[in-house]
Amino acid sequence: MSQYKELIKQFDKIRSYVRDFYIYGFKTRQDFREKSGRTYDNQRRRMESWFSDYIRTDQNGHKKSVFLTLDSSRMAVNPLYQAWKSKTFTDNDISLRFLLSDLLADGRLRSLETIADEIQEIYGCLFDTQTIRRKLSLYEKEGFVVRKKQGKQYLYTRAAPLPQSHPDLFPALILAVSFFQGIAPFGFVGSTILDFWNEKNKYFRFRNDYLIHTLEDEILLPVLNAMEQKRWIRITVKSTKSGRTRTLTVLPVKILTSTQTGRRYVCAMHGHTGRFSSFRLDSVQSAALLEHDNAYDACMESFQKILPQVWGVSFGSLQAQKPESVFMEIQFDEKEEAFILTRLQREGRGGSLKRLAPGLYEYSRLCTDAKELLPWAKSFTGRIRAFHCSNPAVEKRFWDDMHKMQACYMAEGEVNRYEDK
Amino acid sequence: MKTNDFTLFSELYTCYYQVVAKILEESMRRPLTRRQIEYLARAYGCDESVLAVVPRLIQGDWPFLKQDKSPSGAYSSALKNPPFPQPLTRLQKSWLKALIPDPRIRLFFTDEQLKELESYLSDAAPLFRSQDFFLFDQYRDCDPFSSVMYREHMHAIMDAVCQRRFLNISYLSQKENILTRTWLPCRLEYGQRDGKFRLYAMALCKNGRQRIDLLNTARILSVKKTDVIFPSPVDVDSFLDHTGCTQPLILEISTKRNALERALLHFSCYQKKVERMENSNTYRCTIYYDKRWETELLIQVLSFGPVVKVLGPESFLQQVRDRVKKQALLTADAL
Repeated sequence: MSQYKELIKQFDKIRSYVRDFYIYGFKTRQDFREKSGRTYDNQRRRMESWFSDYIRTDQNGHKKSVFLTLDSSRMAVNPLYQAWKSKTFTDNDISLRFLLSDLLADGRLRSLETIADEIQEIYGCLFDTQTIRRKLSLYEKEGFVVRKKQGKQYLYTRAAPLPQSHPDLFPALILAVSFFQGIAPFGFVGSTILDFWNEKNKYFRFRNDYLIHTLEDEILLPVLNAMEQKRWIRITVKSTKSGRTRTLTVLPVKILTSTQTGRRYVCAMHGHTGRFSSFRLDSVQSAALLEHDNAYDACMESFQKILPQVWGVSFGSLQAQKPESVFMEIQFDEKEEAFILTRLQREGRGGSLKRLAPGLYEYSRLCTDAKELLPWAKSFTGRIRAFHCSNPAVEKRFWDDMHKMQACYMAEGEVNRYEDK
Repeated sequence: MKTNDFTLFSELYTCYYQVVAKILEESMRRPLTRRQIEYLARAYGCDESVLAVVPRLIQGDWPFLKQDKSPSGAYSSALKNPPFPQPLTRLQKSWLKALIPDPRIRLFFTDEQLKELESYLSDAAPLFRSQDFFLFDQYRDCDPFSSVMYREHMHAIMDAVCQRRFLNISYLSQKENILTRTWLPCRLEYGQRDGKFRLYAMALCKNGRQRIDLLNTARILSVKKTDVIFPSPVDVDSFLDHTGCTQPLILEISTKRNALERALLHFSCYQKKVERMENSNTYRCTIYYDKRWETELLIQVLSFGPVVKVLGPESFLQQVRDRVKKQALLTADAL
């Protein structure tokens, strides 16, 4: 039985655990059946250690749920970044990381043999030159170390840290990194820059921030590389609804991010059908790059053509057919409730807005899949005078929901009274 | 240089390195006792890091500390140089390079500084391209990041935040009144949903009390520096603690239409607790929210329709009832 360690070897092993602890929170040990109970215990212990400030427990009879809860708008740095800072290492890794950095900090060029000798002489540590060479090679690749050729041998020195090489830039860069680590893709990389400079984000906070996206970054990187290199990818997708896993070959064209629902998708063209679909990044288990596609630009062109008619991420089941049309009449007090007009304008995603009468506006839009627009339409509950859709099933769903809402929140007599009216 | 050979999950960024660097930094200033080392490991590491880090440092498996021969037996750094700052890795530089095309980067730098940054990053390949992302539901009225005036205001605000300097600010309020006051900029908040910066600024009232105001930076008309510096950092969170809800929002979430998964992800940015209700196939979600954003939360809840039901508090429930009744009336009128 291997001993428990706070650090881990592979990121994908903990991805689903962090997600379950953070998003769901109600799951108990019995709900984690995919792996053994001991694996769950170890992962739970890690979560408790990594996120100790935000971990809570709830006891229901004999069942205990452990969950992660926090207000993202109060966070200076996404606590889930901790998962990225939990990679195991060896004693040699850490020793050479600090010793080489310290030895080479004076800017002098040294040969491999001199480095090995000085490490022994100054720090009293003996490493074979092969180990040091491998580390120097890694650090050179990473940019820590600079290698120069002098005569027949290579000499090494440490790269100058940015605060020393660019002192005028440094204060502004701290602010920029503090900001972008919270909002840019791969934000955890920004937080490691603050770590390297021994700095903190003191001045920025992020409202409605979906912290969970960071867990998808290991999948996001190969997908972005495929897009840049115009290549196909093979993805393994595990459905969040059914749990079923399938493998697909697709051509990725865009990362579609929702700022309101917390979801992030990769939009891609299917190999067989030539149709576009969106896959939630949190459901993609793996992504492998395949061959280059010479027709990538044409695919991108079709995507850009269809995109204005997509409300969210659904391209509809029948992409060859006509888009669906939605009409909605919104009634409000133009003087007292001008913010409703503002909402229609800024949230309407390119839909048309027409003033039918004082305080009555018609919003209309074409959609590849009008069902996607329903949550937004329902957010105007209390002001919707009419709702029509060319897809009768969508229109029916809308009115059914409105009736169910009445049944939920109004007394039976009240509902009848309104219906009689 | 291709970007696909980056290793995101790397030992180079492990928190233990950070903990060790912090201990070494401190031990260069003064020798540390074991207890002090343990304190630092707890402060900068994870909950159990102390168990893994401290024995290795003390026993010399990680040969960075030397023990005094004095009776106290304190430890000081065996290294010659402070561990911070460290040179950036290729991944970190590539991440920085990817930010350059973002219009918001100009809010932090002058044109000269930006050129210097570009030159520093000249050999790095961008980690990602902003054109590959599309925020499909972001509001249309984002802040004017490319406006010269907006950029000047942001530069002045950020300088003031760092220096704790009061600013004379003219501000166009929501009600279209021009307010001119002296504020101390304390913190900036960015909302990805609407692409706006908001400034938390402290005002000193006539009675000597301090108050935090929230200003939309795009509504700032002019900014003038003052010579007044506030002596100590302002704890914005302590002001915000008073705006929290007195009673949390309680929702009943059904499992129909994947509502549970959708709702929990949607509300994941809030502090929340979820319980499974036995025998009813529903879940109870308790959300702790800021009263200032109650209407926004109400709209979000309504967008789920009947699959998410508000159980309380009464004031919130009443608002939902009012809207549903109003809708019933509108529907009846339209028929």
